[in-house]
Amino acid sequence: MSNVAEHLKDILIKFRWIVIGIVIYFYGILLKNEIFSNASKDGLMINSWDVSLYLLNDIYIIVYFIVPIVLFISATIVLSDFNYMTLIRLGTTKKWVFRSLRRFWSKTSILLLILVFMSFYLTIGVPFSWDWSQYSKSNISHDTLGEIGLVFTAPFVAFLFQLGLLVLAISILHIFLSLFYVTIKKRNIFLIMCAILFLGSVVGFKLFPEEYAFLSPTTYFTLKNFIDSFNYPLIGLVVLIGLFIIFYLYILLLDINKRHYFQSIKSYLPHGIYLILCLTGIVSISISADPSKDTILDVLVLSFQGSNSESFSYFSFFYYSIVFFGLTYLINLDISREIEQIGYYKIIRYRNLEKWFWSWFRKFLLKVIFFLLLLGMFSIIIGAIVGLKTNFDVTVLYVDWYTILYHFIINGFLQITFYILSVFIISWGKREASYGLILISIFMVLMLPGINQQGVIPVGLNSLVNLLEHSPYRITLVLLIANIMIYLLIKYLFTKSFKN
Amino acid sequence: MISRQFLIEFKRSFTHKNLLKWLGIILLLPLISFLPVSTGYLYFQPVDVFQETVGFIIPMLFPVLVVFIYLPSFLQEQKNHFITYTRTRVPLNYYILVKGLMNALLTGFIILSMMFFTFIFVTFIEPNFIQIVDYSPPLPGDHEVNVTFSQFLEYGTWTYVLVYSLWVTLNAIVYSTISFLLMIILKKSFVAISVPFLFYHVFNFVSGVFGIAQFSPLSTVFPFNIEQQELWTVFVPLGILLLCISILYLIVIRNKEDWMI
Repeated sequence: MSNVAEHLKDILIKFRWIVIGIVIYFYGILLKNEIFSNASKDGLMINSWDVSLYLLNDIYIIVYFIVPIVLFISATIVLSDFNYMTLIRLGTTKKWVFRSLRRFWSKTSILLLILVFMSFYLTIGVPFSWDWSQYSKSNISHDTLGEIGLVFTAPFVAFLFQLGLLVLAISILHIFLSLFYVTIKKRNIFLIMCAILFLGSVVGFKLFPEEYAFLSPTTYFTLKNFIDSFNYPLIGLVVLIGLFIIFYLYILLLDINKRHYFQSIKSYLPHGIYLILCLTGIVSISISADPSKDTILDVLVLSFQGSNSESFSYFSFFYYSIVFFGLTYLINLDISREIEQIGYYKIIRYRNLEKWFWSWFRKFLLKVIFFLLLLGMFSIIIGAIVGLKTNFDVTVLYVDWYTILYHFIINGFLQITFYILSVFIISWGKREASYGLILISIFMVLMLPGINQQGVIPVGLNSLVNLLEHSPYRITLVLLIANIMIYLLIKYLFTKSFKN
Repeated sequence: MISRQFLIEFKRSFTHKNLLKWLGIILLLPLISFLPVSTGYLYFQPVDVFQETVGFIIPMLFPVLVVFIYLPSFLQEQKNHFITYTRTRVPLNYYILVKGLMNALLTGFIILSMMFFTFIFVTFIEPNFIQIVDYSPPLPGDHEVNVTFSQFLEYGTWTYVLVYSLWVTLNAIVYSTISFLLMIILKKSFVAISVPFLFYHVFNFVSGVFGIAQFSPLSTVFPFNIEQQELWTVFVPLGILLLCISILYLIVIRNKEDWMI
């Protein structure tokens, strides 16, 4: 009984391939007639390569016929083959991906063979030659093969490249799908992904403009589109091979226990995002700088100009907020941990609130200095990379370079210290770090134009634009007084909480 | 049961401290915001003053404001393990649901009242009783206020103020709901509370870097710093936020065991 069923299945499978062959054949006949009529209209000779390359490069048969079948084969193999029994037998997910690729090709190769066979079968009765025909050389209006005739010397080479491209693209498609399934392990999302790929390839060759053609999967299935889309076909190849390498690296990472790495990365995530944001600002400013006039110190000035009551621009205001209030926020995160979670145990250990305070506050101060030096160095290095003048002149402000550096580092340090101390007071008083956010918002308000006119409110004073109106030493004085006052307040609060 | 719980929550949220805070937001904040812009600008009509007042200090405080209207009380309940003991009285998901609705309702109501009070103040109270603002006579020619949403001005000032206030209210509700949902699933409540704040300011900066300021949170909620944009642009950041809310909602209802209560 099972033998009969097996036999029937075999016949059916074969029957399926025959049907596919017939469909390709009839579609090919249509194409062949089209080429014949076009060629005879212009009185041009054709040869067999025109017919076979035309069939292989026809976008409609690829998108509406080959791609769906390939997706179907790929999806059935991935879905039926991924189970724990197989995984246990194979040992690693990596091996499973390769196995599924092998199984995929054992089926898809038949499809490709049929396609190639049909492309040759249709050439019966067409004169054969190893060279390009008149028709493809003339390359006039019909846009049958596009620029293929110009890029490749012989049609046979083009044929090989077409085949190679198709194999590479389909392999990448399957590897992508199998990796996608291995990663999410959800059947429905996987099927939706298949549908998206199909729709993407249908939409891709119709809607995407030339510049974005590399986003469409269809570009990589036919040589004609491939050559049309990229100015240098090599770039397209680099894209494909790059994808291949990325997928391969991902395959290598598949079996590693990611949770461990993820945990260790997670703790650096806030600082990482913060540094990326800081760098983004510096890079965007140095790109917009004028290489013939601006120097590397100008990048520093323009980046950290901030704002004061007289001169205000949203970009520099937001960048100031990101850099300095962002740092305050990050330190606030640590303070919240210090106060809410481990504070009481540590206070018992240090026996003295002030000792406890300095035990972690010292580290923050070092962090701030390190960070300011880092930012300064970054802005100078990026400025040099972009190709700005490497001397110590400052063209955007009429101030010496040492004043700039003094202001940036000393006043910056004092200013951030003030922010941290005030955030600490709020967090300590409320025993809840979230209220630090209100304070940061109020600081931001105080930096808006027209509010801090005398420069006596110790907020945003390290903006480099302040050098236009105030001497840096006056600003240092203001910040020092503010810091001392707020430190005395903290001391007072500490003694008060001892009495309670 | 839900409606009863809702009533209880409603009564409980009206503490003296909260009332004082809310009155401060509704009455005091517009006044503080009004003072710096009251002189030194060229105004033709009260709606100009309204826009300048709303667009000055409030945008900087907005992401923190909406989060601190109601959520601190929820934070206290979390920290003091209060919610665990309400379970004898009411199912946990009802309790959380009511809290979420209450947060949305109160945040929305207070922001809306703040906007309306600002408008009523600059239109009725200030010209009649205080008179600091110096209105210039209308210029010859057609004077237009060119900011996003002033498209509605042609249907009348009240329509504009209503539509714009509802828009700010909607954003306030969305921002604070994101925080609320995060507070349920995140261990660090400080991070949960600061997410709207971070989103708002980081994306203001990022959109500035990439030159798409018309999609920045600041310029869509308080569109007074850039020229008039098409109305659809304001829905781009809101759409992103709504997507975030939907994803967060799914995460929240799927991980009932891991709720931070």
